[in-house]
This record gives sequence, structure tokens and C-alpha cells, in this order.
Amino acid sequence: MNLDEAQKRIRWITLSILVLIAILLTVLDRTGNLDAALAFVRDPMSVTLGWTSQRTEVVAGALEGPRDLQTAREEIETLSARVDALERENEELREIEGEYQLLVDLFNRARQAPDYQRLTASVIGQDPNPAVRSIIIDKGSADGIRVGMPVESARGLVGQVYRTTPKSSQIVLITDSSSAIPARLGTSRATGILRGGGLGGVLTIEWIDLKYDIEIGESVLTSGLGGRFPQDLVVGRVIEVDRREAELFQQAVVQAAADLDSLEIVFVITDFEPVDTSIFATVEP
Amino acid sequence: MFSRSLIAIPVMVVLTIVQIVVLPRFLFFPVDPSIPFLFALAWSLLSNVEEGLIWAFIGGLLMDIFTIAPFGGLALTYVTAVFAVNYIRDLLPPNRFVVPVISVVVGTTIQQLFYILYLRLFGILANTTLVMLLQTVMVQAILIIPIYWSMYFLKQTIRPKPVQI
Repeated sequence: MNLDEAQKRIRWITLSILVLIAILLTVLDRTGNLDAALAFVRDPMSVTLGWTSQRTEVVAGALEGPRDLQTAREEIETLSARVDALERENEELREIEGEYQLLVDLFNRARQAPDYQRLTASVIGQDPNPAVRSIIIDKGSADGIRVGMPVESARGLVGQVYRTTPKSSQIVLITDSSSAIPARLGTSRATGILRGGGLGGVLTIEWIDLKYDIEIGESVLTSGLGGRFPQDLVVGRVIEVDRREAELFQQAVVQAAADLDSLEIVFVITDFEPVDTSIFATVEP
Repeated sequence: MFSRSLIAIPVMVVLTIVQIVVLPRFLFFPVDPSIPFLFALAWSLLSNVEEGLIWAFIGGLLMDIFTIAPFGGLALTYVTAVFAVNYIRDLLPPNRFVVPVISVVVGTTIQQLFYILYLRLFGILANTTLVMLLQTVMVQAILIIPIYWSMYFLKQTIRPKPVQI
């Protein structure tokens, strides 16, 4: 055997060993036999992620400072010029007071949101894998976070706790393709299933009955059906309706209320008890 | 070879932290490039394929720790892509700009497609679209040049070629 052949053999053996180990690890992970070992590694690394995240914020702030000052000066000039135009527009706006009532209704709707206990957490990292959508936060099981707890931002629903370590948690976002949340539309009261995985992180509500007339701009809330999420958490707003009379159901495209690409602070709802629906599972005779 | 590859562990730990924490904060591109994969690929081109495979494996495993997808998937696809690139390497002109760029285009495409198939095996629909795939390929093709050249100079420093007199 010459040197070249020996080299090729080593190469193939290395590949085979690594591929076998990777497959073995996948199998162990899927059967739950790797959880303890992964948590053991994940926890100290999460601490490092948190530390790095704080320093990164400081550096980012320092870099953005001078740029913000320049931007602010430019904005002052632009805004001064716009004041006159806005005063004129203001007169026109007085004439559309009819919309005022609609806004009041929406505001009251939002105010009716149930008062849950929320734990504030900082986002310290994003899923490194572009094929899935999740974030990592700096609070974990030691802070009372449990798998399945709903997570929201100041603007609306963000996702659900996927797994925890004592000092960190991973949140699967509502835009991930695995996400399916029972939702209700604010005005028409139509219900459907809100799914992630759309192009550019777009959400879609599927299985909406054709009898409902959905309007663009309708607010989207959690329906509470299924017991996994509390009722009436704000999710987003309808931006497009796909209604075909030949089909049994219609669907709506939803823009998430929260900006899921630049989350910094989130709130974990800690006192919501998911309803156990497993009792309705079919029992094998 | 294996003992020499141990340096990959601290290097990949740092790169994984950069990938998870720093990159999303300073996002310049529409998609996130995979920094550990780029370093592993560059090292396989500069050093030898066996070392590149180990670098890819370690980088993939570390990334797998922080993803909600099944563990081991990124390691598996990184290793496969680095190995596949090795086969087209000999067909390319020996140019230090052409080889890394074409390698990363081929490697990224193989890795992404293989990973989509891998996720499908577990019933997971990847969020990756064709546009995202093309964007990722382009971004990684841009980034491979500085990464490849910085590693080239690093290798020249830590492992200079022996001179026979």
C-alpha cells in the first residue's frame, strides 16, 4: 500500500468514525438519554454567553453613540421641516374622529388582558442554526422557569419555553415551523391555528371558517384553546387575507406584534398552569 | 493528528459564542453565516482533510448544544460537507482565492441541503428557503476570503514549512 492510499484510508476511517458518533448522539438525544450530559455542558456555557452578551451590549452602545449623535442632528432638521406639514395634516385628522372610537375599542380590548405574574429576562443569544428559530434567555429553572411557559415581549407573544438549565432557558419562537398556537381574531372573533415557518418569518392563521369576514388590520390574540397558552395574549395583526370560495377554509397572514429579530427583554409568564389534555387521549382497548 | 486537532476545542468554543451572541448583535447581512463551519472548511483546505473533519465535528457539536434541532445534526452535516469539498478540491486551479470561494459555495450548498433532509427525517420542516440558501452561500463566499487568509498566515506562523539544507 503506498502513502497516498494509506492517507485515503485514514480519511475514510476518520469520516466513518465521526459520522457514526454524530448518528449515535442524535439517537441518544432523541431517546432522552443525553439530557443530563447536555445540561451539564450547557449551563456553564450559558453563563459565559450571558457574560459575553453584557460586554457585547457595552461595545455596541459605544459604537452606536457617535452615529446616534449625527443621526439626531439630521433628524432635528428633518423634523423641523415636517412640523408645518404635520400641523396641516392635524386639521385633516380632526375630521376622521370616527376612527377614534375604533381605537378606544382596541385599547380597551388590550387592557382586558389578564394579569399574570411575569418574570423579566434578558435575551443573551440566538439559535445558531438558521433552519430553526429560537432564543436563549438568562433565566432558568433556578428562577422558577419551567418547560412550556409562555413568553412575551412588551409588544406581544414571543414563544414558549422549550428547555431549561438552572441559569438559562431556550425559547422556541412563534415563527418557527414547529409552532402551532390556537388563535382568535379580535373583531370577527374567528378562530384558527397560528403557524410559523412562513417566508421571512411570516405567521399564518389556518383553518378559519369561510363564514367570517376578516378585515386587514384585525388584531390577533391567543384563544386559549388547547390549554397551552393563556387567553387574550396579543400576537399581532392581520396583513393579508387569502380567501377562496372554492375551498373549505380561508387563511390570514399575520405580522407579529413583537419584533422577533431584535428581542432584548422578554417576560416569562410563570403562574399560568397549562391544562393537561392528555386525559382525552384515546385509550387502547 | 488528533492531538494537534485539540486546539480546535477552545477555538470552536470562542467561535460558537461569537456566533450565538456577537453576530446577532452586529448583524450586517440578511442571514447569519456559520462562522465555525467557515473556519473548519478553511482549515481543511490549509492543513489536511482529517484535521478539517475534526474541526468541523467539534464546531458542529458545539453549535448543536444551543439549537432546538436534534443534537448531532450540524456536526454530521458539517463533516459531510467538508469531506465532499475535499473531492472537488483537486479539480480546481491552485489559486488561493478561487479554491476557498468555490469550496465554500459547494460546501455550504451540500451542508444546507443535507441538513434540510436530516430535519425532514425527524418530521421538522426547516425554515430555510431557496432565497435564504442563496443568501447564505453568498455571505459565506464573501467571508471565507478574510478567514482563509488570516488562517493561512496563522498556520505559517505556528507551523512553518520545514526547510531542507
